[in-house]
Amino acid sequence: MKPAKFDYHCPVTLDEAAAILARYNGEARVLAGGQSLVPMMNFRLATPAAIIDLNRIPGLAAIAAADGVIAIGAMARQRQLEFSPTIREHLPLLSEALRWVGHLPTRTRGTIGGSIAHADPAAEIPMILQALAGEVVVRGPQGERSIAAPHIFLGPLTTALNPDEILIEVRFPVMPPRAGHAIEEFARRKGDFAIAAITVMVVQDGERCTTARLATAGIGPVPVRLGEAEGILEERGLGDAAIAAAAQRAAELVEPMSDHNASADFRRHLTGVLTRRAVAKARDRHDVRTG
Amino acid sequence: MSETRGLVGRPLLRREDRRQLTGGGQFIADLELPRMLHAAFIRSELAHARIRSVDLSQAAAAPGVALALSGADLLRPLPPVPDTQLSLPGKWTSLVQHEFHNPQQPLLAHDKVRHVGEAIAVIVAESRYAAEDAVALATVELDPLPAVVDAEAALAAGATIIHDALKTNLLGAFSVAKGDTDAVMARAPHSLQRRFHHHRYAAMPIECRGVAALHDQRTDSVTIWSATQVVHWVRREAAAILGLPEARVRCLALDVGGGFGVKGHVYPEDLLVPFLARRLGRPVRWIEDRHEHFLCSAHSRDQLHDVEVGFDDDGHILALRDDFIVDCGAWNPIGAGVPYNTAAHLTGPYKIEHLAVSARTAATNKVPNSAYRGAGRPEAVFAMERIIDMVAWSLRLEPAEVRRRNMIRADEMPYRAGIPYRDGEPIVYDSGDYPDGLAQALEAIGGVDAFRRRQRQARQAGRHLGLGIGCYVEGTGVGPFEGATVRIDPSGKVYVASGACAQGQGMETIFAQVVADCGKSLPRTFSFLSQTLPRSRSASVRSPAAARLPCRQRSTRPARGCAGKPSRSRPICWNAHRPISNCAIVGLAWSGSRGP
Amino acid sequence: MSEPVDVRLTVNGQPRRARCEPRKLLVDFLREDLGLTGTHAGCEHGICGACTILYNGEAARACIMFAVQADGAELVTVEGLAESSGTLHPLQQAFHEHHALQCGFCTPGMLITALDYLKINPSPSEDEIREAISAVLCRCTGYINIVKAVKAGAEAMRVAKA
Repeated sequence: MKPAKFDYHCPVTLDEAAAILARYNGEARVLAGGQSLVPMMNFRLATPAAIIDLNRIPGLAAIAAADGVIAIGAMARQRQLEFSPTIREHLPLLSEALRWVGHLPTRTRGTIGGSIAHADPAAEIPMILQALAGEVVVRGPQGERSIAAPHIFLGPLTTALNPDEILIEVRFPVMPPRAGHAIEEFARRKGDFAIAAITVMVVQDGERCTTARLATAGIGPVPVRLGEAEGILEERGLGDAAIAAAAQRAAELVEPMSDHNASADFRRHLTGVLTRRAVAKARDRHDVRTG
Repeated sequence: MSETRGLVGRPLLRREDRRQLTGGGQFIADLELPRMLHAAFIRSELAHARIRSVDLSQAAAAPGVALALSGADLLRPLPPVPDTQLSLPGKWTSLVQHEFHNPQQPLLAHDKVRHVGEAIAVIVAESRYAAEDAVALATVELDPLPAVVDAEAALAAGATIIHDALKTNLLGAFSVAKGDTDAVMARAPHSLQRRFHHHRYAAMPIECRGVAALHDQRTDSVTIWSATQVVHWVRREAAAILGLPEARVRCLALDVGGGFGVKGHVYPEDLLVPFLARRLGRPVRWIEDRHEHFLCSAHSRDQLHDVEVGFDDDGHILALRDDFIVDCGAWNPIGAGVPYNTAAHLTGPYKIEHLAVSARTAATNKVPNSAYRGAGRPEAVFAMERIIDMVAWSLRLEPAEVRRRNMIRADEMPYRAGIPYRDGEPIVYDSGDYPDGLAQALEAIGGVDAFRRRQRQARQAGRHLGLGIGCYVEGTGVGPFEGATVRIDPSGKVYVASGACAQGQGMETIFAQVVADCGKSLPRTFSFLSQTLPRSRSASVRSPAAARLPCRQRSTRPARGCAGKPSRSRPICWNAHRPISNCAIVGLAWSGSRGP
Repeated sequence: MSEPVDVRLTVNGQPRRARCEPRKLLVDFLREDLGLTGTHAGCEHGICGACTILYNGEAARACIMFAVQADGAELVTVEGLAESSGTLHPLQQAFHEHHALQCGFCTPGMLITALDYLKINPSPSEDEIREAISAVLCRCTGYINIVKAVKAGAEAMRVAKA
């Protein structure tokens, strides 16, 4: 399984990278961590005419916290983020999610931008982007634009990026300081892509749940926010009955896929179970953090 | 007595470890030969199709390509994989009613493809990268045929025939019986019928397959290196294919990264690569990649059993009938080997006087089946252990107790099972206390009664606890015996030749232990080669089990005393019953051996 | 642009250099161009872990990197773990003593993966070791002895450091 030939470009500036990408008119691919792209190239499922290696462009992996926003360069390695004190403090849900992404050796090379641009339906990072209402910044020949999370993922392995655009930054609003959070993932083995996963962030004020965020991975073709389930929690709080109701609504909301890993029915069932567990866990963690 | 007495049975650190831990192992993909070329295959993407055309013109002209060959190109120079893939021992054939049709597998498909992954053409180029580039330039036109993917459907009237010349998908059948199963079954107070399906299985060693070959023009001899478990078999078939005497064909297995059975028979690539090396006058190497491994390395199991059991009120099994079908895929490299293992192991530790087993091997458009860890035995155990549980449940008896009641007792040993083993010799269990073994196992979990109590309590609380019991007897080795040759040279170096190939079992350490026990001295350094010897004699040694060394020690002398005085030394004589010359060699060097 | 390029890097402390096509995978470059066959290719799509090496001190899969990406990098492969005297690294010694290898094909990847993890977590629990080595597939051993070996190796490394 050896990749087909390609022209190899190793630009040292983003402008150069964007220009080369545009020149190939859709036939080139950018190379970030390569943990998803290179396997596909080895299978010859992807045979780009050119590879534009982003790994020598300085300044694309910075982590900056300002004005309530965490801006992460697209080339920041998952491993780097996993151990970043800034991320742990301001985006603890992302910290937690990263430990589910592949294995440590794949996180050495895999990037946050690459994971989002690859848009595997079962990937954890896109799910977190949805849950925390993040956005990406992309650069193309026309300049830069941001795309908010709900508008990024169009279908399996398909994003709203144009072929001549490069994802350069990922931005998250800082998580509220006392937010409880959890991820519940069902996979055959740890490190596998999720057959179904639910992520939760909740903020409580006494008995009330002032903020609830629920998002999915692995269940449907794209990661989605479960707005109506969130609404139930924000309306009724985080008692067991409310959680059960939210879990049931979550199971009704999803449009699960059937594949060789699981049937749609099973994914729907998992949605309910994982939502119930994740919300309860987030609630209990919130209590621990504030208690 | 010497301090090394009784090394066998003691845990020793392994001799193999150092090189494997420091990156010094030599696997087939590590082998570099001067001017070596690399092969890649064009493989079918359809399960069943007629090959309309194969156009290799662009592939042959691609950069770095030395040769592009299709199945049609090979038809004249190369016969199909020889029919003696797994020969049936003469004694077995005279005792067991059977018929087998082994379709002759061409080394490259030319008329039809019969499974996804079947090789249609081969490219040989300066690098694997270049070869795969050329593969992408080949144009193959296939006319799809209906694919047969179910063994029963394959045997039904009107099924699409996979091997046209045979006019049937029934590749083989045999039956073996003892007693009067029909009559006893009919009279039995109770009977049960059940169907069991043991699913298809794939070995997945972390090292894929690989073959390299070199033709020496001066001596017109061929050396084959293969990640194989069966160097002798490869050598024999390669010699036949190449029209060379076995004396001029060597086959070596280097370090092999796991076998588990999937590397335990002769594949088309084992034979094609030596042919290509001779044709091109340059060494050729093919390393299977993981994608190919998924597609065309043999699978195993995939048996469907229809079992009928007749029993009495106490759960004694009076009669057992098993009609089973093996889905052997598109070809049948192992022949009767795996299904007969199933038949021979069916009754396991149980005393069943009336037995009728029939087996049918069905061709389907799947990857061919061969041996995998147990090679037919686990399938038998699955059927037997399931049915005996069902016997117990139907009578509301404890399954462990029903097993105990049916087990051959220690005082009944040696026990003649009443059917032949696959070498044709009668199966005799020489020893064993099966009821005691079962009792010990149940003791280890605190006793079955205590477990059942816990189980009932848990059930009331909505928790399901399960207890699975599996009992089996394993026949190892084809028999009747294996042997080895041990030689000592004047310097005191000891060479042990046996039939074993290693894929991680630690043969170097094992043989050192065995010989050290015999020689009462621990060898310190040695080298291990798994290869065939020049002198040829056909051997039916196939299993990689360590050899038992039948030996008679005539005399011993310190090795130093032998050195330099060959005419006066009395060599240590180790007499194997039958020296097997197509053997693996283990060379042992003794530094300062101490004699008694 | 697809023509061969120079790759200059440090491997096991030694400067190395060779020319290869940009598409050449790092695992093949190490094995064929540099003659370091200890790193094994088991799957060529980043799943089995047999190809794991240290890339600038961190474990990475050589089968899903191009050699050109390692230009200027410092790599450690299994050949670089033992001392030049031949003394095994404590982790290698622990693998040996705990029978943590059979065929040896996954072993280089296991060693490198475990070493990388032990840098981050020098005193792992058994559960943590299990999770860490789940990055590498082993078909022979059933993992139990590998877990024991990593635990013992970690201990030996802590003692050596102390």
